[in-house]
Amino acid sequence: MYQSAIRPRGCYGQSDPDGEAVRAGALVHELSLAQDMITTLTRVAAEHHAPRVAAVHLKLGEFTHVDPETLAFAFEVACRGTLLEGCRLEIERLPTRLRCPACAWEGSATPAEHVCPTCGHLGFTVLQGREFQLDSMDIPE
Amino acid sequence: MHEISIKSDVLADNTLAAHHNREHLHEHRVYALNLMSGPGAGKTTLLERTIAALKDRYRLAVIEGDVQGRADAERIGRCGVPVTQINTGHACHLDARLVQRELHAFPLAELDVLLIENVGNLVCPAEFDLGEHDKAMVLSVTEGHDKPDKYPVMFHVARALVLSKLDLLPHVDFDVERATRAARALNLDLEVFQVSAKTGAGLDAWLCWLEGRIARVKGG
Repeated sequence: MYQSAIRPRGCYGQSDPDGEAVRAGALVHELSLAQDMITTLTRVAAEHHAPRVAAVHLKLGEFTHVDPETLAFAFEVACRGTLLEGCRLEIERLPTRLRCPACAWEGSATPAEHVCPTCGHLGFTVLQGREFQLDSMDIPE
Repeated sequence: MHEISIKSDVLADNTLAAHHNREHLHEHRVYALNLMSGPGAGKTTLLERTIAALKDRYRLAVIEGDVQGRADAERIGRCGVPVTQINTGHACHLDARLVQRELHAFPLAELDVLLIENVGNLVCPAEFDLGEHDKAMVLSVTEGHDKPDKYPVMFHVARALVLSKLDLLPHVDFDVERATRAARALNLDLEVFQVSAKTGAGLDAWLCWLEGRIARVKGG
């Protein structure tokens, strides 16, 4: 048996089967995601010789397990001491859009009982809602 | 003000590491399964039964992910297969970079199957591709049939769903049909198995599916 134990940087929180404790204030994976965002943003800013960043535009689908408020808080904290400190994070929420594979019905929410409201087919294809993308940043002239 | 376009997925670095893992596994024709669930759903027990059934025919190894402790790695170690424990230190999920480090510690050329037990959590693991071939979810009947509605992304990304602790069904208000429908609505390709790892009921169908998935990678 070969074994190791490593302790990476990560997110701080606790696994919680119902999520309420997490929402009550513990930081979860949003902090490591914020750190990933900062890594990319810092690199792009350096490529453009930007001494600071005024705003960051993020697209976040609603069909993700990323909480926008928690992410915004984690991002603000993680930006401290970087050239991103004090920048504005603008999160564009993309609603979940579903399509029925049988009749091509499209809708924006999970219909009751999980069946297509038009033809009764069980299950949908997710057209939109899984996005989690850094779209752009604003830098002062 | 000057706008700079970025158009980059936040998880791009993880995706890159996952791609590396996928190539590394592919090179050695090792099938990898990422087993996910909330805490206490029975992942480790299902793994023990799965290992006992398959270890004479496949060369298996296991990566255990937990916030802390070695308890699960010790349980798996007693099954007689190589195991490594990743302690995430309060992190709520495994990511591809953590798995990448461990992959290099395994002699992949001497393996057929890598079973990865993710940190017990119904939220975060859904977002992190590890480079595995399949994600399988375990949902125990004691957790409630409303979980697909509450944690939809987990069910959306999984290829298989194991409803576990079926031996407890007479004692809990778990509607198997409702849970199955809700999960399938989120995932058209989802395979659903009803298993009691304790009594062994339903294990054959799960193992049959898993061997089919392994065969796709190993050929044969």
